[in-house]
Amino acid sequence: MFFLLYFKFNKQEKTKWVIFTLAVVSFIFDILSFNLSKKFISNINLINLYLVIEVAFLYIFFLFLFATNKFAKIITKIGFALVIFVWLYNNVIKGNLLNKYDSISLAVEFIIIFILCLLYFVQIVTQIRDTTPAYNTAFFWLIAALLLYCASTFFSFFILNSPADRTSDTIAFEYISRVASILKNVLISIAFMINTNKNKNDITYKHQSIYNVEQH
Amino acid sequence: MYIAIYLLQSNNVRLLSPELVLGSLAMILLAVALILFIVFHQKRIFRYQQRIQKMEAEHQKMLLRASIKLQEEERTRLAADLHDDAGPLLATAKLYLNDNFLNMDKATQMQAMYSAKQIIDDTIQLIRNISHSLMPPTLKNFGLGSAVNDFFQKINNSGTLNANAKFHDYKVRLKAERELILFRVIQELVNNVLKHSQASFIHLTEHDVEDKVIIRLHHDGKGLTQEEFLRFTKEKDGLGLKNIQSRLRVLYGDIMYEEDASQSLYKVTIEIPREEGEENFSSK
Repeated sequence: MFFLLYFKFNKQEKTKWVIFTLAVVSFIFDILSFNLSKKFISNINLINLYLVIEVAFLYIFFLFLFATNKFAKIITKIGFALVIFVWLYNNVIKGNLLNKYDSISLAVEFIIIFILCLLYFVQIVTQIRDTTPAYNTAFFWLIAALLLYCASTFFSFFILNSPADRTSDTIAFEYISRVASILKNVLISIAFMINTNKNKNDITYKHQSIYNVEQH
Repeated sequence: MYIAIYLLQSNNVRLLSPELVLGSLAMILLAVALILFIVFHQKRIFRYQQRIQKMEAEHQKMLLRASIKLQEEERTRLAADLHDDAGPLLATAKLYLNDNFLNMDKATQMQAMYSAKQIIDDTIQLIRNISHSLMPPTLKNFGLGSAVNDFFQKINNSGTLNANAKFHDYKVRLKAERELILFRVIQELVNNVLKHSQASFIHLTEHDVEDKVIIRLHHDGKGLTQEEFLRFTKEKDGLGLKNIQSRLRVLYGDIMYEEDASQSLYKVTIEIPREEGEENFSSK
């Protein structure tokens, strides 16, 4: 609660706040899902619902991230609209919400995240930064975390259909997703440890001339 | 990779799908490579920018030193003028009006008073000249165009070369302190032409283009190119050029030294952006 309030009232950290809340929400969903599977109750609908919540948080995150980049903002809006459309089609129109993992929506979501991460990296490479390098910002590590997580779990989510069949793919998925989660959490922790205020103490270039010599 | 092989070979997890593990590993490697590329790229760019900033700071220091040196030279000259010229003149006047003055006969008194008056007049003229060299009254009262024309008139009177100036769009004056700085830059440029170029004429024009005052100076002597100008400003010598640069920085102006298309003239172009309240609406 304390952290939630801190990020809520700290406007400069609102992008971090979104990811922090997403992490808390995903943790709650993981506990719920674990408890359901322990009681042999299907958690498919919970996992399918989580996708929509995740998409909503990531949509806000990318909008904050690309606050000044109109093109990236449009891509974000179109991309996430597409994910929601695919999710609605698969789960509501086809009615798969309760009986099948929605791997298609997940794959589409991951592709959109890939594209947005690449857009962010392109923005970094093309932008002239005269204050701090991009890797000294929290955004960079948050994006790195997202990219690594999506990259490592992309194939496993794509082929996943039902956790009930303990196929070799399902077991592989479990291992890969655990490792990817650890990796993602480490990178998110790095992002949270970066002090954004430190970056403001940059050397500013001032004009000095005969006309202000007297002041020194 | 070793972890993946271990997982694939271990009895416990024999069921792992090798295609899936290898595919995911490939994706992780790709993402890591991308992140590392960005980190190293940023490091390189930042190091390069820091080097540029350091060079710029050193250059600034050099300009500042040149400015201080110029200021000190100006003060020394002023002190010398007052000490060597005004001091002896006033001391001589004092001699004429000494304690014996009242004991003198009327004719000698008149003679002494006349001489003292002459000396005081000379001192007033001298102080006026010093004051004018610090702030030309023509510039203060009539603006840059008149001051430059006045300056060029003096050069023409010397008979060494022909100098003329045309101010086409200078309807709205720059702020007084900015105008003085620009005038000093023009003076320094003309001094350099007189000292080093062996030119037979100087032609200066002024135009306003999109809220910028453009000053162009042509001469037919031996001039500088932009590369030479930049090289001189980075060397220990070239105090005058460093002062031009530091003064232009105060005005946020640019300077460009180039050889004219005709290859027989040299051209110096100065661009000064007008500030708020200095806008010349007729130039738009």
